[in-house]
Amino acid sequence: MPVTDALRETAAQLLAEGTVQVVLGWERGTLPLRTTPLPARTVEEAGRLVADATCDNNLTLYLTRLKEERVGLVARPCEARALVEYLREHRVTPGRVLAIGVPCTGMLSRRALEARLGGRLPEAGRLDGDQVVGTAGGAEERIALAEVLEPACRGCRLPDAAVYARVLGHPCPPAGDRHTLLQRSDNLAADARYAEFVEAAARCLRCYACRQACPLCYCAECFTDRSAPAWVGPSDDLSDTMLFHLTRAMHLAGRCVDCGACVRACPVGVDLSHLNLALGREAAQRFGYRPGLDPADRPLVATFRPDDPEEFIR
Amino acid sequence: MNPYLPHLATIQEIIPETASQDVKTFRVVFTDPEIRRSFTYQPGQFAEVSLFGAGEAPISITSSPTQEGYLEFSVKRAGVVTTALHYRQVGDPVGIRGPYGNNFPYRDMEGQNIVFIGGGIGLAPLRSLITFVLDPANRSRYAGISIIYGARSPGDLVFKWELERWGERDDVDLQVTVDRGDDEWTGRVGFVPQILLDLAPRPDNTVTVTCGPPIMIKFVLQNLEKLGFTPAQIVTTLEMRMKCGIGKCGRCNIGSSYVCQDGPVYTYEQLRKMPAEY
Amino acid sequence: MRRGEPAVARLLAENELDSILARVAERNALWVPAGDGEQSAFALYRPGLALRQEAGPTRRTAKEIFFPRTEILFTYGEDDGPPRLEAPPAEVLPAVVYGLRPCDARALTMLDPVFEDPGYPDGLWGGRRRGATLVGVGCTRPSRACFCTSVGGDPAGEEGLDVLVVPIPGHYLARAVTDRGEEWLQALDLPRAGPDHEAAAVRAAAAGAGLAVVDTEGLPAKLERMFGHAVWEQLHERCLGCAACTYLCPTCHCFDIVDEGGSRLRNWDSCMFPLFTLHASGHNPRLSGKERMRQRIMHKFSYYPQRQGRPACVGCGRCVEVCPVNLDLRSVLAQLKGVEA
Repeated sequence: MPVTDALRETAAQLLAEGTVQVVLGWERGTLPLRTTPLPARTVEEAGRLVADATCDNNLTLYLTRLKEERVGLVARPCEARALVEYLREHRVTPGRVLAIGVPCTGMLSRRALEARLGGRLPEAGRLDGDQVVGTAGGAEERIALAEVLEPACRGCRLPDAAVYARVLGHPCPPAGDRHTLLQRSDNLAADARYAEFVEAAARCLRCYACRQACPLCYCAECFTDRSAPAWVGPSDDLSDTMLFHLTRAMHLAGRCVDCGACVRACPVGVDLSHLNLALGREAAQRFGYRPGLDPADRPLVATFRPDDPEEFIR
Repeated sequence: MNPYLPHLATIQEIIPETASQDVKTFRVVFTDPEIRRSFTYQPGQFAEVSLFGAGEAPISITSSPTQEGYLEFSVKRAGVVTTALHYRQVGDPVGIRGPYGNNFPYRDMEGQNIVFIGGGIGLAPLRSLITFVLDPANRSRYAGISIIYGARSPGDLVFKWELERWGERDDVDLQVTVDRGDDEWTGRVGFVPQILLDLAPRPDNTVTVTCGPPIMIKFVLQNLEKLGFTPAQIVTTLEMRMKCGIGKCGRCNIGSSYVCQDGPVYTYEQLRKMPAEY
Repeated sequence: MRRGEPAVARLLAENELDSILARVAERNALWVPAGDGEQSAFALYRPGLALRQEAGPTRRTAKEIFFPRTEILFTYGEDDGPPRLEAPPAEVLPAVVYGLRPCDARALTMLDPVFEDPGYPDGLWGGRRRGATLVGVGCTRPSRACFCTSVGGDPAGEEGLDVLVVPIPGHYLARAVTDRGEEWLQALDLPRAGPDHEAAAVRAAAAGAGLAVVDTEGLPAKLERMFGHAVWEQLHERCLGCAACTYLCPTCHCFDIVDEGGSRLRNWDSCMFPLFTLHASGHNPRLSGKERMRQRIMHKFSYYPQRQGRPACVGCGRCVEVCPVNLDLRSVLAQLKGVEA
């Protein structure tokens, strides 16, 4: 059975039998190859659910906004990893969320597709198996999804299977070590790397779409929203913008689940995910910690072992 | 003319108002004698007070246009700017731009009784109008003047020196109350809305002007209606977060009304037609 | 332009555009649309810079030329020294903006009454506006999110422009809208065009490209009754509360004022942020996403119309494109229009 059909059927059943009061998923959006989050509360609404390569957002962030007691969460590995962190950080109570695992083929990068279509946004588009069919300027093009995949999807990690209450098909196999994505920035000289950071910071408008789209950026009051003292100024001063991105990265160290939702949310194409990746690599290599995989793990920064490497505090 | 550029002024006097000193009154004088003469305002208007390096905040002018040569602002220490202001001393510079906003309809009030109902620091904007109507040049234009004022405790009463002067006058009925008294307090104890009910001012040919904490305003409005006041007879002044003060920065609106320009003074009749978002 | 006197249309050859722009840039600051995709914006012209023409609206808007993200209102000197106030000179800054879409220019005319309100004219906006000659290019290929005709706009609209340029095969047909535009065109010394109906052709082309239609008829009046409507509860549910929509909106103009490093700065701000209306006391009249989203919609489609007589939206579709969760303004408007109230 195609995953969408299985999903609709499962969601409808969970709602009908009262197992959950809402199923958090996606439905088709208003633009070609876009979806939008859908909290389905009725069997009819469940009939609109979809799960495919155009599901941009990480749904887990909506969990704490919903008032319902029992929530079904349509979960790709990205949602599931964020859910693992939520469980570990006691952001949701175990048992409130019923994760419905859906297979993931990796996400379509809107940016990459636009570039492949000659810098134009598709007027029409659809997925056809492992192909993306996009029409721009009247001309239809067929592109292999693998060629226009989100960078974040090139190194997926699968959480512990126990996090799913239901599984509808097999999740995609991990496509390699995510940290290899750091090779490019690793190989850049420090000043070139800094120049890239400056360029990105100069472009950033501080709309905070990255922060708002991030399931793990959930502080009730972000340090940027503090006015007394104001830790970071609101102007276009580069150092303030850099401070925002660096602090966000630090706050996500060992917590970022590499879903890439921040990058996809940015309206002006800023991608600083390598900051998160680099800190994630530190967490993995130094402390053997991989966020989002095992709900039984203790949070990285709440864990101390006598043999933790500590030469940096010497 | 850059509308954001304040006039420079100097703090001439600082009067601690409350026992905890969380409210102080600042008397400021413009540096430029020409501005001192040309800066005119109406009771109920506010100004943007600048502390360079900290920012600026909209603050109601608590002095009256009948008091020439200076402006007074009574400020509760709350945010960044007001805290910075509380650390300033006599002789320190501040910036002032304004006056902004509408004013109390004091012309329409002529010939009528006025009942002022204030709570806590809410007396600050009322004081401008009280001083104005009590001025010898204006007093005869108004009928009876009553003031009902309350604070949480005796230490939280502001303008004690002013209250004393008003209390001594034969042509003012001043009623001061506190929520909780202390060993030395011999005056009234009770909430302002209740004192209002007890005193039961008559609504005919009377206008009321009220300002105070939201919870007080809520019950004052209810009780005024019980006493037979129509919404048009109730005037209040609102506080909103503002930045520009001149209708551009877009944050102080209540519905389509910009508090910085169309307010801060509204009748209850006007407020009732506006969205309850303040 | 004097009434009843149609402006002379002139021809601008497509392959001469760059050399003409280079000439313009020698005399004035010249802003042109440039860049790809999400990084597209109005940029200062330099020879060889590739113009963004057919690929759709620039992601960032032309308002930034007149209302930059951060600007100095005045300087006050050292934080602890005696204040020495110095305002930037209030001057008319000559510039040419080429390649605006008609909706871009129309949006500027919606901000004029805010910034140049006769009571308190904002010299910074006004100085730039008075100095700028706006040369718009008619829109033959609207983007997939465009809905200008639903909010009173026109792909070949002239409002706010000094010159309207219409692409025709091999050429652009340029026609002055204002005296300033006529003067500017005359200085370029271009050949005259024959009789034309190209603006109509642009409209037809745009319509053919499928401009979205959103029925906003009567919506402002209806919204006046809808402040307390239950629909807001659902409408904001997916909204993340970021400022992508407002920062990339050509008519959003909310700002903050802060002191930093000896200057009083004006920075963009957004009604979508909780801090926007937070009082020093801790009270916040717009406490949740519901109130904040309602404010954004109401400001554009109810409050602004009550004050200025028309909605503050030009249908450019940017908010539709940039919303991270595809919360489409067009659907929101349709829903507001559709519910009982």
